[in-house]
Amino acid sequence: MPPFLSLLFLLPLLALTTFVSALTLTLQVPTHIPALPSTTTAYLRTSGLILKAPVTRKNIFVFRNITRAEAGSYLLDIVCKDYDFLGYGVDVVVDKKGDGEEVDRPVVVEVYRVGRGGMEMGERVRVGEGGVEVRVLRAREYYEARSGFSPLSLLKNPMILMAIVGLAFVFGMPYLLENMDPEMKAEFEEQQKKSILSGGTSTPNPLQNFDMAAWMAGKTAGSAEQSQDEGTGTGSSSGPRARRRG
Amino acid sequence: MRLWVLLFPPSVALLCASVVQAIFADEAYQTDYHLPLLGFPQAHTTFFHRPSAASKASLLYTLSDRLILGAVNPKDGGVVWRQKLGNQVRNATTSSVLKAPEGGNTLVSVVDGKIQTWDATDGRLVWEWQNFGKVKGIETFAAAKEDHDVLALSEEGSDTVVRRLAADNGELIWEHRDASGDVPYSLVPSKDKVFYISLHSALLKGFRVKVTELHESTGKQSGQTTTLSSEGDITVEDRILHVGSNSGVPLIIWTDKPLKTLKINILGTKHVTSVNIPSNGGESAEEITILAPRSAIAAPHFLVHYRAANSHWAEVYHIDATTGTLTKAFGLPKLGGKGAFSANSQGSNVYFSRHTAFENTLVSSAGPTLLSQWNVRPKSHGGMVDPEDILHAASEVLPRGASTYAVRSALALPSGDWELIRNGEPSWVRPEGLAGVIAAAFLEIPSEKDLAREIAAEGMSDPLTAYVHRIKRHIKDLQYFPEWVEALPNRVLGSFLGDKVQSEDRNSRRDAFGFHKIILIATEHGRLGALDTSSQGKLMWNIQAVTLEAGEMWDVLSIEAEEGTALVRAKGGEFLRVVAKTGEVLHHQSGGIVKSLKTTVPVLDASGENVLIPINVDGSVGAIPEVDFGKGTVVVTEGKDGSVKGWKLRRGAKPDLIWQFTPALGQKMYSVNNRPPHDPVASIGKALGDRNVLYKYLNANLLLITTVGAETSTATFYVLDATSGAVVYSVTHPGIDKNQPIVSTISENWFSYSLYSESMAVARETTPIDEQKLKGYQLVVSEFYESPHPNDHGPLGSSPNSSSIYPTAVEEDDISATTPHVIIQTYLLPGPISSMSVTSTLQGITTRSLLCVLPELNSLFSISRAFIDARRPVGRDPTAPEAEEGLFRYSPILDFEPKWILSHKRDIISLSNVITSPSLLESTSLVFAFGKVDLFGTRISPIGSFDILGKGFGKLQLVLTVLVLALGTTFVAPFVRKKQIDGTWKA
Repeated sequence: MPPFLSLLFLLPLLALTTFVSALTLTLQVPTHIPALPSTTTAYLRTSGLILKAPVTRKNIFVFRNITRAEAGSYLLDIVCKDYDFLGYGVDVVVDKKGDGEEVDRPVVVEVYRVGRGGMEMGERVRVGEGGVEVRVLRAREYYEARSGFSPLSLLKNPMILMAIVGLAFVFGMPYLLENMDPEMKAEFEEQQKKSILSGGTSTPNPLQNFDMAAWMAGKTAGSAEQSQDEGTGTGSSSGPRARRRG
Repeated sequence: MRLWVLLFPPSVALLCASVVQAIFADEAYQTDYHLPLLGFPQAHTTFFHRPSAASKASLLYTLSDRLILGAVNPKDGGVVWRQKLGNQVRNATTSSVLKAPEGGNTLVSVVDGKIQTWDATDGRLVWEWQNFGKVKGIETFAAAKEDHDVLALSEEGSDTVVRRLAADNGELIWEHRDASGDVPYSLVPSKDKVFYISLHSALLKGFRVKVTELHESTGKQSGQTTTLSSEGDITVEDRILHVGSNSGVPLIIWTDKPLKTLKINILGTKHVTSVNIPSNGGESAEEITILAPRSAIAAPHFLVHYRAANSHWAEVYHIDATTGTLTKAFGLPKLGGKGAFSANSQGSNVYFSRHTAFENTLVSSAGPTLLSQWNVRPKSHGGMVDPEDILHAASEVLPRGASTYAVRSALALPSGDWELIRNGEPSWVRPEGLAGVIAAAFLEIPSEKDLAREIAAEGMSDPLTAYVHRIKRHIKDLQYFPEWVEALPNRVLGSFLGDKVQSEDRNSRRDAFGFHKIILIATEHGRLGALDTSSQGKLMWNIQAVTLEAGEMWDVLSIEAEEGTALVRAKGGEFLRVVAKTGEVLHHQSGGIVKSLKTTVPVLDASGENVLIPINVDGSVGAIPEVDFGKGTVVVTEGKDGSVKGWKLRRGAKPDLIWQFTPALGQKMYSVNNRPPHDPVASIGKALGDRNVLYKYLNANLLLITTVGAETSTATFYVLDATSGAVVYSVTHPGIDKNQPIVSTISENWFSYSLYSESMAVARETTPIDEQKLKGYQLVVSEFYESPHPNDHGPLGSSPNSSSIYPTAVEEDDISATTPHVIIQTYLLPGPISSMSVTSTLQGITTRSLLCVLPELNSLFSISRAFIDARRPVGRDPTAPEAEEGLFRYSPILDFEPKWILSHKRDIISLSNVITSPSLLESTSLVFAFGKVDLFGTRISPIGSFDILGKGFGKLQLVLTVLVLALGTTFVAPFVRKKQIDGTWKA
């Protein structure tokens, strides 16, 4: 399961043994995460107030002395150069349960997952002394790998692929024809003759075999066509051009 | 003017926006440069210290005047780690303390009553402790082998509280509360006792020193409180010169007002020893400093450093640890100039080193013989550093054998430089005086041979003279030919193997791509410096441009480039002209001659000449010179009362106030932005996927004004036409947090801003989710178009001219004003943005990028405008034409994508401004960011460097491929020929 889909994992809650009006919120980082950079800081924000806690040597974040004065609904962001963390909401509330005067009641901290914009997701969990574990969304990758030259990437190029297929045809076709069933071969040749596409491929370059003398002698285009039937060459007054075999 | 030529936006690149802008691993740390500064080191918080008992080498620690705690490697001057402890405002009145227990692995700092302990090796926090009240002193107390508990003396209301906090987690061990109402001053642990000193107000005037002794393990008072009759001397706390303890002799030393006597008391006793301060050669001391080693086990010897107007000397005193008697051991002779001493110890041996402009000497506290003496090389580091008038020094003395010593000292110089000398040899220098840059500008490198001008001259003259001129020019150019040929093999090789060696003259010349410019910076304490963009931001020069009184800040308003020189304008009409390459001050006009004058601004008159217009402090325009302004020019000024005023300049007349913008009742002016001076618009419209055109609302005179509610939590953004003062558009945000940064920028036909807000979601059908507050940072992008419909100019129609002042004159019918059609989209950001600006390229064809400073990530972030296009389809996938345009489905969540972070893994502290400058390549913009501490510069290609070959282009590979192909062709050619001939014969 990808980490960003996983729900908030919480450490077993420890019962608050002593009721104090100020409490400490400890955020723990999953154990597989190595030491975070020293500039990593956790922020608790609400309108008009920001609480900060830099990462400690033990790879945790400690918000000390959260009192009644800090009651409110906060967004928890952990800003780190190496990792993106999931977003959480933190509510510091005065405990409604229990008896006694309102003033004496302790403050409790509830933590829940939030989406961007502070939309509450997942269930609320009251945080005890053990703290709460925050999840890492992903590692931050700063650099783009430069696509270096590799022969394989060259092969993936459609132009190269087309050329390779073309080559395969050119060299493979005669071989295929040779190994063909004689009847089928005959049929194929018949078809080839009908086809417009055939011809020219094995015809030598007409320019190379331009019969200068014949042209000078005033041979007509018609006779040139005849001569093409014989496969000796071709030429016309309008310039050299390949003709279909008659 | 309406242009029908539309340049097709390079939309192909937008489709892979995530790929285009990213930083390649091989370009990081190559194209970008960073000057990680600390701020000026303070004398009492700077020292050499071993990060842990096990480590062999020590690091140089400082807590600077900008409240940055840092560890510097003494070998190369590189920063090992840094931590911001405050808000980096210089000359902060907050006292800061830094202590490092000998043999421990932590540092303890106090800033603003917050105690923090740090791991000395990697700078990670160990614990922090804060209570209301002010912490007046901290000391460490050895609890276990490496662990040192922290003793803190704080003033909480009228109570004096001493606490002992546990080394590992900061838990309270004991607390001693004293409600006597005396002012706590300091505390000294000595052996198993803790003394704290408070100042008891005497009956008439002055303070009596009150010393209380506590037991270290319980915090209970032990013994008597002793009160010393010091009221005649101590009228202010500064009279107390020293409080400390070495070898179990806790001391307090103070002096009287005329600096005639030193009074010394061993804490816990009542006896005060007085020592007369002799005048030395007719000069009397003006300032006295006491130096004692930091180590608790060092011998109880101390040095008294006397500073006179133009000389200094010192005396060394010993205290007998058993009898407590004070004896003067010896004196160090008077030398001219200002010097600095530093105290060190090795075991119980104490050494004092003396630093003056010309020498560095070392003495032992035992006797006056010089153990070592080195001459100091003045004008080190290319003449940039002169160790004159050393303010303070921190040194480390290492005995090498029986009689030789190695001394390295970090000298803090009045220029703000922090230089390390090793046995008198200059080793490195950190330009800490450059922290606190308030203004910066890109300057072009002046070209020696102005080719463009010569070619222009040829174009103007008749063909024959032009031809002769050209021939002459070519002949003249021939003299460079041998040089060029000589350099050719190196250039060719360099282009294949990677140009490692930079030729000398490249540093002073322009380059073909326009990447090489000079950045002029001005700091708040009156310094000017220049960085070279082509050689990793190397500091070219650094001068004290103006002298300021203590505590005064230089208020630079603008820096303008003018043909190889820079014009720096400061408050009060002060201006300064310096040569960009050398830093030579050509002209200096000090300010404050005319009291009411704030500054002068250059304005172009009808003939294209710059005319200086005086602007007064109250926002009015002063007397203007008799020049022709053509149809009139509008100057916009900011008034003192938070208003914005538009003044019209006309020939020979007093400037007229033509409009004034005052924030609505209950609102306060927050900021005013205008479009950048270089903001070219390549296309007046946006070519849509279906080949239609959406016309941009373009107005060169747009102003963006931000106001915030004084009582209510609202922010309002107004877009004004500066010519007429008309409000083109305005928007109000409820539920914002004024304490968080509100930043905005305007360019081309769009503006954007970012703020923190907590507001209710607006939805037709309310679900439980909608009832929650929408909390967080937002980025809002608004685009202006002439009309919502393509191929439509809106109310302006096809008229060739438009007027800001008479918008109705254009149209006969009922459309009364040309207000733009505005499209807005909002994104939710993961964190705050503290500064926003826009990239600039030569023609403006390249899609712009928004450059944002992320203060929490200590980074500079760039996001392409293509990504935050306000026309991204909402709630549906893009249609085919939209996709062709490069638009994709809107998503409200925008992350600070690591690949878009221009500063990548660098940690850049306290940036506040970003400036940009176009290069000669259309794809690339130069970027420079500065602020209270760090400087950072880089180049950015918002849609990829499409007009230059990147590093990924393998020249060698290309040549090899061509060679292989050529070889293959020559090899295959005979076969082909043979086959053709065979074919001819066979046929």
